[in-house]
Amino acid sequence: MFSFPRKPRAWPFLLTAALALAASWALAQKQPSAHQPSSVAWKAPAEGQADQYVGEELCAGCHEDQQKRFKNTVMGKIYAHPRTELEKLGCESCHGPGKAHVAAGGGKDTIPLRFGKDSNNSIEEQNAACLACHARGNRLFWKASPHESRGMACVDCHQVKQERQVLLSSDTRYSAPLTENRGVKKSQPELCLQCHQMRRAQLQRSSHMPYREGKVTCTSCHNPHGTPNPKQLIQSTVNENCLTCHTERRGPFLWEHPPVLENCANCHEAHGTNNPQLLKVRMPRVCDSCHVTSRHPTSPTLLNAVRDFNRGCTNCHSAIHGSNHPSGNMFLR
Amino acid sequence: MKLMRQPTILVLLALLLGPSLLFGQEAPAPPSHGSVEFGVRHVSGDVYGRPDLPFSPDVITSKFNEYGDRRSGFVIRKFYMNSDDILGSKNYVTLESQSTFYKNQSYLATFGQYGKFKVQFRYDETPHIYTNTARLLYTQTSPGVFTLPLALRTSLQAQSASATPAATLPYFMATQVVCGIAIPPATQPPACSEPFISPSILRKAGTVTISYYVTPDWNISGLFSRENEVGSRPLGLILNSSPSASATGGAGAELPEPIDYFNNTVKAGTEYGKKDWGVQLGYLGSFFENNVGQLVFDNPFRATLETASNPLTGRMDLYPNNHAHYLNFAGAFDLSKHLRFMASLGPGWLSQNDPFLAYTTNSAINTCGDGTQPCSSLGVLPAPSLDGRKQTLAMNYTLVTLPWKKFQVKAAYRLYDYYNNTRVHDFTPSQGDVGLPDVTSPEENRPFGYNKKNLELTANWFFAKRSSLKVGYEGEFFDRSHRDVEHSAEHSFISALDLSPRKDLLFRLAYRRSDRKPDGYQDMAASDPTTDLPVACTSTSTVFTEEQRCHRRFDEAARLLNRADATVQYDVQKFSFTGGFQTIQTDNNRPGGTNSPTPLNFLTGATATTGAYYLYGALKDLSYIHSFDASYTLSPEVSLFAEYTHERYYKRMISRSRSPLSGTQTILTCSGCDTANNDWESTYHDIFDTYAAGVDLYLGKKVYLTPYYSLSAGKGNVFSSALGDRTITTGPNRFALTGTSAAQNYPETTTRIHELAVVFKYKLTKNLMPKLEYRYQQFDNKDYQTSAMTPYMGCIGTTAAPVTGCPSATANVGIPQPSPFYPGFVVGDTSAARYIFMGVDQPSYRVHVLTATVELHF
Repeated sequence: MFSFPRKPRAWPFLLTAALALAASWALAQKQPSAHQPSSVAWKAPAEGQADQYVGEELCAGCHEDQQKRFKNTVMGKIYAHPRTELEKLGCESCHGPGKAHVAAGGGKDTIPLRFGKDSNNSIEEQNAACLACHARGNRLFWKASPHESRGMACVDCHQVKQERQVLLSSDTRYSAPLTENRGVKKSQPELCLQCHQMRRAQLQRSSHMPYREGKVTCTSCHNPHGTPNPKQLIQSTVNENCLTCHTERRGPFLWEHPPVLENCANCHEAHGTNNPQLLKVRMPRVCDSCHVTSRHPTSPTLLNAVRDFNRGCTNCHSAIHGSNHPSGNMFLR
Repeated sequence: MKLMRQPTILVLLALLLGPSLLFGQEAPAPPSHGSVEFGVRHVSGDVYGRPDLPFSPDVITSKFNEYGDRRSGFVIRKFYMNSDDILGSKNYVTLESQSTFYKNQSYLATFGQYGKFKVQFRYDETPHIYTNTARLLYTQTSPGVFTLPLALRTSLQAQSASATPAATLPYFMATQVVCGIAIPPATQPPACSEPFISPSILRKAGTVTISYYVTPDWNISGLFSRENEVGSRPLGLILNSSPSASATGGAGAELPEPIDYFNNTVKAGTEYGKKDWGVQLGYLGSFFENNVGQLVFDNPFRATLETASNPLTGRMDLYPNNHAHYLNFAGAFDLSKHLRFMASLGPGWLSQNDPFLAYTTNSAINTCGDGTQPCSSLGVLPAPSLDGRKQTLAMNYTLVTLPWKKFQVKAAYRLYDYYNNTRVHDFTPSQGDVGLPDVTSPEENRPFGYNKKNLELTANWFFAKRSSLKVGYEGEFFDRSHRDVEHSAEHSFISALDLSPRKDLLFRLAYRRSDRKPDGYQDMAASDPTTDLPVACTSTSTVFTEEQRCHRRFDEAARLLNRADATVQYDVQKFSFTGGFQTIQTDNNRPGGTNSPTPLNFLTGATATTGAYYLYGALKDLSYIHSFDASYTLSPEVSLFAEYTHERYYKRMISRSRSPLSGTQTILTCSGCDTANNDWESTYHDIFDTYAAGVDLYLGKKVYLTPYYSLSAGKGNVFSSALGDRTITTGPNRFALTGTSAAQNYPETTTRIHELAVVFKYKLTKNLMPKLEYRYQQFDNKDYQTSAMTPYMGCIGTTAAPVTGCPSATANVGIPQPSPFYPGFVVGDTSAARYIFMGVDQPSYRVHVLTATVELHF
């Protein structure tokens, strides 16, 4: 007989946390501060550093390969016909004024702003360079969003000059909807699943939406750059998100099932389950957990009962998402 | 697309790869403007694990192609083309496609000028196959109208009129309807020619998007999308309120619900802003149309002489047309160097006004309107249509500030209002086209609505690069109308620590504790049937309430939620590792407050103190997830990866078996109708293990090779047990969880998805790369709810006329018998004796896919 598990002991978790904290605290002192200014501060030209810029041609003199790669990117193509003063600066629009770099005869440390893990610039400085042009659109709510407050840099996911190298295994394992966005390091969903490991496992389950088949992907529902909505959802609520595709269930209906209209996630796990219809708990228990009435749901239900096999409760209550039939108050019609 | 014969494909495959390998030469490649990957695919495999089916389901329509279309034949897997500066202009065009000519095809065409405008056309098809084991006796004579041959209905009517329909009907179905080896072809009934069906839908969506930058700071955009969804999906239908053989006129049929939807979406928006601020304005309109508004089906057990308790047909209302309109205003402003304000405001309007159907198609029911009018008439309805109207409003205000150099403080307020403005009417429903409406106690539709407010206050201290400490508070204040809880408040404490002691090492710990408390909890149905006064959980009233007075719905009830996450990421140049642990623990079983202050357990002593419960419903919901992944780049030519996730989920619920009393009885005089001695618990236990491992090789700057294997293995158990004293057999606490009401553990369900793939790609030239891919996929599925389903009924046989593959039973096949193909499963449910199922299942399969393609860059 199955016995309900005990709660796991807390001490291994706390001990690990304490050790990590202690070790990291000591080591963290060697790292530059989040807001520590870099050796040469980057500032937009409007802020009075116009004489510090050397021009794109000079950059290309030494960095020809990078410039060639950049020119083939969407950004490079926009920069070919600059629309703003910032875009006219070319390389220096992102990397900052290059005069000191040139004067020093090159060297990474003299570049005002570099990107990536090896950079001495803070995440905020790196992101500020991107946000100088990309602060709007679906980045309007980037500030204080979950990814921003975790110290994620734009370049953790995006790349500008590199040509994306897709591993053969990645190309075979993952599918993504067609997109013209080639500025990310990996295709979805692989990009997101690098950190969201649990989701990676869920997507592999038998009951799933067509993620693996490349018809739905993470950004179909979420905006990783931040939204004012819960879980970085694109729409205001879970239901508004689900009903974008499942419009037939939107209603209003004559007879409504309150947990359905409040939150689809009351019963369904959108990322994948092993239960039919993406249910969190299989029928009839998903219904039993709320209904302790005087009718059939209150008995434990034998395996061979029509309330249990096949479609469970919805063998009969098939209009469970709402009914517009005048006789549908029990969701039978 | 026509399927190609297998030998043809293999020859094509050889022809495709052979010459390119022989004659290919390294040559300098011109700049790439695009690429195309095309070739041939060969699919072979089988569906297995269902020897009880009198046919072999096709692997192509099995779960293997649930959302895909992988068949043998010529394939254009991917196509991409880009052309800049068309005809000397600054314009560009890109064309992309995937799975061209197949049912899962996608196309994307973009025309524009970088940074100026963009016009994009997208076309997508997404199939969804529900099952390929179903069979249908009905014929769809017109969209949504399902008829059953009269001869068959007449036979079934005669059978259902027998004294023991529960025994004879399954026998009749098994011997006269289900076609298999047991019935010689010469004597097979006409129904044997009925085809097997594969309920499936196909979504086809076309979208055009336009975006234009009037200036670098001002953008306008528009979108129009039209989606058509066509096909069918399984739907359960019943006559009466139960298909039980004991219910007069009770019958059920599973049918393919016809789907013919159109969904039109219109979006328009504009955005304007400068470096420090931006505003957005948008509109979204969504218009859903269902071209099949109702489903009418013949009563399988009634051919003639319609009576109030035996209708000739049943009718289901399918999803009504509906419209939704949303506006969105959003803005973000840097009020000062260290203060940013962000806000959004989004009102929405939902409406639906499809004409009502009549209460029933049953012309023999005449108790509507004034109590004597036909219920099949539209005139007795209180309104011709619902005129349903809802209004939503989403408001968000966020203030982010840096009061000190390394501190970020965020304050956010969110309001979501779901206001239901639908009119309320009195209806007299006829359940399942059989039930007699009672005009003296009409049913009122309830305009459910809610209002949710969230408040967030968090502070982040960025004490080092990629290192921060976050603490905060979140409050959720929920107001609902027409639900058990009118108002609840949930207070959450959140904390997170990110530590990056080295640039290649990151630790993250996060913890959240939420406490939700309703102000009160009162189910409207937990009331005194005589006075209509609410009966609280602690009430000593002995009346029998419609809903158990102490049950608590998990989405409204008091709860304590603890969530903890721990992650470590180590990422050096050649090696990366991420390990994580997460647990979410929801506890609804809390004494006092809106729950019972004392245990509700019938038994006392150890059983009550170790497993005490203070409510009925969901008590606990626990999850533990361990995961890691690692990759190692041995050299530029060799890289390896491995992933593993172990998940455990536990849920526990308590319920009570209750049966209505009659006359003047109370729960103290009705002999076990509502007693804690008939409480039972159910625990739900899921375990998942997900593995993947593989290698990427790049040899001699010519050969790409990758083998990988992945497995997603899940098993689930539902355990149930009675909690009372079985020895009490009389009196108000009579133990009733026996016989068909006994608690029973269900068989374990298991699913495993194996995938093994080996891909070989050869770089013949910079622009020409032949590719050979072998993929083996195996899906093992054992699900007690569907694995024993056969068309029309479970696996049923008799000694006198055994159905091949079914167990021999006694003459009374109503007695459940174990299925040999699913140990532990029993079929022959007398309650389902008059329910004709389609036999929906997604059986196990094994598939080999060999694909030979050429990747050509041009």
